[in-house]
Amino acid sequence: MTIGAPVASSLLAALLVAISGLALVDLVPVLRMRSRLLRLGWAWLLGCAWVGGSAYAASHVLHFPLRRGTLLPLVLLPVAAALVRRLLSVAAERRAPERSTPLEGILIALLLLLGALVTSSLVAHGLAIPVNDWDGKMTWVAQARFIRGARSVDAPALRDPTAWVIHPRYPVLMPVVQVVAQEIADAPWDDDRFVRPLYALFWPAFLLVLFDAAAARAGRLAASVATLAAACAPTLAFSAHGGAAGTYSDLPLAGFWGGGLLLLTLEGAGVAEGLAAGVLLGAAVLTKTEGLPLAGVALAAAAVFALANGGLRARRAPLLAAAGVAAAAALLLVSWRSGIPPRYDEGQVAAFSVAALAKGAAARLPEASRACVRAMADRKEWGLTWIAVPLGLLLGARRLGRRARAALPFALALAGALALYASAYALSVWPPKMLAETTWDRLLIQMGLPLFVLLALALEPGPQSRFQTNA
Amino acid sequence: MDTSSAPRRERARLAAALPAAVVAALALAGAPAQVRTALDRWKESPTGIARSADAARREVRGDTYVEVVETLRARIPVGGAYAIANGGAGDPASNWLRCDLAPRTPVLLLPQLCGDWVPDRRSAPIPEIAAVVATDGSVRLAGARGLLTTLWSGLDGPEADIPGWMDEPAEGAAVKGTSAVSGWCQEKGGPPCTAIRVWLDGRELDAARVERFPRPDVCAAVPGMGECSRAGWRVSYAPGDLAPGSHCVAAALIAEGGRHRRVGPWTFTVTP
Repeated sequence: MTIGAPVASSLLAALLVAISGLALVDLVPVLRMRSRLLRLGWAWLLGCAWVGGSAYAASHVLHFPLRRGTLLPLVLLPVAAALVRRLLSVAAERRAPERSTPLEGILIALLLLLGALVTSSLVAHGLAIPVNDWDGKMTWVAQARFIRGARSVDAPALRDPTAWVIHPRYPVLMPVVQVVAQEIADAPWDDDRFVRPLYALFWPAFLLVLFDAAAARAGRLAASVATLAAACAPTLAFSAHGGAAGTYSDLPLAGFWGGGLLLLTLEGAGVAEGLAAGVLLGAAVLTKTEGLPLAGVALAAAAVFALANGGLRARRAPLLAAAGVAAAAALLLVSWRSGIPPRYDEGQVAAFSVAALAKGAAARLPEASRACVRAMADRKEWGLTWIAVPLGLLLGARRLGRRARAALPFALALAGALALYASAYALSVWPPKMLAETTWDRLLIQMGLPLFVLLALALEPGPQSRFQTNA
Repeated sequence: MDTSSAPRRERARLAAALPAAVVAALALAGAPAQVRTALDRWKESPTGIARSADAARREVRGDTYVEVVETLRARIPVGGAYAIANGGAGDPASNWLRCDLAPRTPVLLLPQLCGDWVPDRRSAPIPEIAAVVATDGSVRLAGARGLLTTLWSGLDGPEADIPGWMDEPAEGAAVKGTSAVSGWCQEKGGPPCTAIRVWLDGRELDAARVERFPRPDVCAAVPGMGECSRAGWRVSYAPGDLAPGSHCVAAALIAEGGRHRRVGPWTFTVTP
């Protein structure tokens, strides 16, 4: 077969990002205890967060040119750190994985088969068809090209007040990830197919991180079922407008802020876990505009969780570490934006005031809610997801009550995210129905990790089958 | 020994597993669709992977689009600028174009009523080349400066209430082989307007084509006009000079001291 697509260079770039992430995972004690497969999920999120975030900062703060010579050391820095750690310390003991029950084994095998099939089809299809989704062409891939052309996140096209660039002040972490991958692999300028696998790989990463976090809290059986429910949601995988088949930044954002929350609330999280969570939350801040408030929601939920579990003091170090890194990312965003004249943004949210919020909520949310429900009932987009998830939460409500402490951070995170989205819907200048129709599916994707972990907690059959964190 | 405890335990175990079983069943009901979609995409992929970047783009956007992009890439240096005359608000073609031509910097031109264009940012330097995106998403090349409107050029001051109008063609009129654009202009008790400027389809007509003629009907209708031998103005056309279809016309009525009044622009239709 002739190969016209940049298959080798795209996969090589993805491999380098994953290697960088695996090295970061190796620096985080709780994560390096995980099985190889589960570490890959965290590695992809941390790799993208590190590669994109460090290149963003190096370019804006230190004016490093975004070219292979400067980017490769950034990508390999975690590898060097992990090697040093391995040289200086005794190899970590990895507990033998607990044996699965036959039912768990069947479900995990199904998940692995489905996961492998869908992931490979997403990657193959990405390498076959150029980017063809609205936001990808309008914003994310276009911005990546402006940045690559200038070899700087402060590209003249972004800063020129007369240049027609849509959403020039949107955070550009994912475009920077694209540029890093393209530069390292010396990828062609004009073949969008190179970048699609980078987005596609967020789907398996999402599921692996979900399974890991859910298994650590609710056991393998519940984790398998919750992960299966997520894996069978068509939009999450195959939507070009927010899912892994497109180049929107919603699935990456879901992984970053959800992953940060999961790491911060893990049993035994210390400073290293806090720093890793900070890297993920910082990436969320630099990925989408809503990433900043979502990172705040995750930190607040983790702080409340700490209070409910024996006091803030015990978890102060990881929380401060995470908050510090996320705050640094927020400062970077503010500084980067300060050089970019506001323009060509739809002004989606009108000026904030409590009165405007109350008025907007009363006038707009009922219509928006109806459109949201219609979107969730769309079988083509969501299959049976929005029957399975609410039913699971309802049937497992008593269990959730018994596991209130474990469920607390996820319930709070979801409530915070919903409040944020409701405020945006209330204050938006877009017609409510149109707004919900174009954004609600993507917002559901953003809430995916805390939601499906909460589902796993509701499905946990009982303490006998609890899985003890060493998946 | 309590013989009922085993069934009770079994029932409790089943009840405990019920939520997971229900959700698993619902999730699995969706699995075949996921598998089908994945397999369908797998089937499409080998052909797509085999294609060159150029062939892949042609497949998605069509030959014409790709050829326009290639021409623009060849003519605009990587650090250069170009204009996108975006005639179809919200049309995805503009997004594609901006992305495919990046890092070249685009300047946006907005359509005016008369098929002419203005830069969206007044301070924007106008590049040489423009890509004109039509409402149907098709793209053509044009010289950017040639697209820009000359309507009201040089008329910077405020408008004045100068008596006058453009009578033909009337706004929205359907006319058969229009022979003239005409009207009148004269200050009450004063001289006729010093100049009339006429724009047709966004282009200013040669001032020498504007002829003056008497308008006794104006004198009769408007008291105090005085002498009306040069109150009328017109630009004549031979029948057939204007193609059938929609056209756009505007006039500036200019009095002494450069005071002016703008009339139009408005559209009219020439019928065959």
